[in-house]
Amino acid sequence: MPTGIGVYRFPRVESLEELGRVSPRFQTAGQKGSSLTEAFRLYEDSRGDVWIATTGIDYGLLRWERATDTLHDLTPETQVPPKTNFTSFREDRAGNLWVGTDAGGLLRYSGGTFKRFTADDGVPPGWIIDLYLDLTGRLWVASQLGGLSRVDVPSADAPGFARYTTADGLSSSNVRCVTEDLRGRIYVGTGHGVDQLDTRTGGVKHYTAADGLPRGTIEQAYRDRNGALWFGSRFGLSRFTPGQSGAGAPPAVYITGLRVGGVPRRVSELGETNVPLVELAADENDVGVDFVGLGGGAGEELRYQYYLEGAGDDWSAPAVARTINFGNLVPGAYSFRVRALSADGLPSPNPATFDFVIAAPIWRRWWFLSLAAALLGLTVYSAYRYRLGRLLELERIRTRIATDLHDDVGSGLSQVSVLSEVIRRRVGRAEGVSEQLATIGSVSRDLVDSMSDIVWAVNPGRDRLSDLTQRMRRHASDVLTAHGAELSFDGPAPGRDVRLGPETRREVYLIFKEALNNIIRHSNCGAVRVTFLISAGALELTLGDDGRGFDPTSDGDGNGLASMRQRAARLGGRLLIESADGGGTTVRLVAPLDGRRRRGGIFRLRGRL
Amino acid sequence: MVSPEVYAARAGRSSRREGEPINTPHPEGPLKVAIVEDVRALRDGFRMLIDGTDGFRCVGSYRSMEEALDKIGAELPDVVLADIGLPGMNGIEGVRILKERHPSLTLLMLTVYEDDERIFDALCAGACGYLVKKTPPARLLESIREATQGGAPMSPEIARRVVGLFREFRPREGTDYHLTPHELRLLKLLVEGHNYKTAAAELGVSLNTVCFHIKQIYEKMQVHSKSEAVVKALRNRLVN
Repeated sequence: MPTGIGVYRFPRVESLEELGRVSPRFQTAGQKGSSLTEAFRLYEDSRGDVWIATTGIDYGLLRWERATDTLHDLTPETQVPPKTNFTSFREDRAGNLWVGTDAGGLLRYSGGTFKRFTADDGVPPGWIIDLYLDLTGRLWVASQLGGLSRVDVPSADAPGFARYTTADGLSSSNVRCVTEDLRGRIYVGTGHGVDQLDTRTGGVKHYTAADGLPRGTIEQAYRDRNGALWFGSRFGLSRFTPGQSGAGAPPAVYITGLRVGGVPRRVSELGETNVPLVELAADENDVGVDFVGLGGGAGEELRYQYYLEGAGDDWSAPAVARTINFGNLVPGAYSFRVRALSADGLPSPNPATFDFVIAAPIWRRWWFLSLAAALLGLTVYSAYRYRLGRLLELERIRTRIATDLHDDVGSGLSQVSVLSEVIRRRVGRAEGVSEQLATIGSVSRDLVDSMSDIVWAVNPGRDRLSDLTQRMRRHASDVLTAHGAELSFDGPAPGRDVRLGPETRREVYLIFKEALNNIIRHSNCGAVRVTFLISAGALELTLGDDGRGFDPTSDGDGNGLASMRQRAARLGGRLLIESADGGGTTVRLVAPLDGRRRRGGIFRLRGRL
Repeated sequence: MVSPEVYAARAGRSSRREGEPINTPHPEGPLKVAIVEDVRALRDGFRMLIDGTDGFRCVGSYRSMEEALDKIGAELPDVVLADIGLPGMNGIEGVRILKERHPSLTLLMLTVYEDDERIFDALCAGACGYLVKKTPPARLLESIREATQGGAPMSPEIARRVVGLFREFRPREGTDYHLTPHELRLLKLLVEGHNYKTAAAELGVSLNTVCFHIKQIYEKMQVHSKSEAVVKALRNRLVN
């Protein structure tokens, strides 16, 4: 028995009255080394040793060893800060003795050594005012500031402390005592009454003086042999008989308030279970809902779960808050549901619902988007058509100019040709004059030919490879037949009749003409072989003759090699000439093919005629 | 440059050097030629050339089709050279009327360029061939005579369009106006750019055979193009 002047041990007595007549067997007062005065707490462990917490001038922890009847002062070994009170004791199933202190954390004494757990280890702050071992071996820690903690495996090296605070439904964080009923429910006495904690469901029932408890802070809790629970405060003592955990009716839940953008909306006074569909504008994306559950037993604290379909995946964790706010919701359809949970974990059968739709801003509506897309498509198409029109217009202009040139100049040159012949006849065989007139005539006729070539090259209707081949073959036939030479002309295979640009046609044809010209004038040959091939984006034109040959390095007067090379370069290709004196000549042109389809040409529009 | 020998080659004659006058005696007297050409220099020039060449006589030179239609009856020529681009009534329309009035006329179109697209239309209207204006006049006159004998030239353009004409308007069954396979082959070669000589070599026949085929083709074309369906369609195209 602890007293203010020490600890007394009395022998076993039959009744309380006898204590007054019996003298103590043991007392700490007067023992050597112990000027103990106040003993605060006693605890008997499983070996029968008694632990004594002292306070007053000396804060200390003593153990009376039954076997030796000696008192050990274990204070120094605890390594707690000076003036630390030892406030509670409990032995766990492994035989460790747990000692709670007021400011030094929690101690565990095993195998002769103390291990100290502090806030760093998860120990709640404040006085560890009670320690309780439940029927399953878990250690409960009652703290005067930090609520209730649970240690599932007290003998572990690093035991974890699971905290229960007011957020979990406790009525107060000032937990003074802990006990348990035979069904495993934990009871904690707090400054506000008793909380019954069902560790399985997490449900908390709350009992106050209104339920029959004594008023004031419940300091002590105890379970008697019959399973009844006794709770005591400074003002009284009550006995509680735990009943069956009645599966009470699940609570009903109602929505009692709505706020959009902070502005309240009308909701029925009695609360509604289904708020009809509300349509909100795109900027009204801040929604708050108030709700309340009805039902549940006396003192039962309801918890709530909500589920916002459209923004969440599942019911939220149970919480006691009765209001929830959603901000910055994206446009869409939402369905808000809320249900209440009884302390036993029973949910409301019918959640209260509130459906609402947040409209997309104008610029996200489907009709706006498709309109914009159509507009864009139309713009692109118009631009395309415009460019197409311009291209065609340019071609028309080009053709018209060529035609005019064609007609006027060609006609005029024909006149020159005819007139020069007329004069030649008149003049007769006058020396020199006749020859010069003949030159006038032939030059003018050559010019008409050149004009014809230009008009042909520019003619958009003659843009195929077959047109070029035909003109080349025709020209070769005419010229060589007149010259008396054999012609063998191998054109490209008729398969791919690609389109050629006017520049390509003209340059290739003129190179061809010039080469033929040289053959006629200089080579004195008997046979000419022309090969014209197309392959993989390039053309290859070869003219071979079996005539005299010449020196290709000499750019002799009048054989136009320079101009041929220039033309080849303009095409992006090259000209190869092989000739040996007396061994014939081969002229080869290799150039990339301007064979892209007309369609691609629209993007190459340059204002060139 | 297309040398003068070209035409000779096309018609199967041997090559001749430029400048030599033609000395072909004509059994029926000189060939009577009329000219319809609006450019005076050319008109006078041609007239001088024709008159200045043995075997030919210019019986009329007119500035326009209207004038020609008016005055040609006075002394009907054997051959009419008509410019293809005439003011007023165009050459093609005039050709049709002339041909209707005087079916025995040989009508030759004068053109600056051989690949002028109007030539084909003129041929369908009744012309028998064409001459290129820039041809050295000596050869020009020879071509005239050849044309009267059916040796008219055919350019690749014309060949292509002849093929097209027969493909588009199939002559009625039972007529002789279909193109034979030989003729079609020849036309295809011409389209590719062969001249008569190389086409003959390609086909393995003589040049004379080729000329004969050409003559047939022309005749068929003229007959065919007179058929109602063709006339209507061609007229629509010409109008357009």
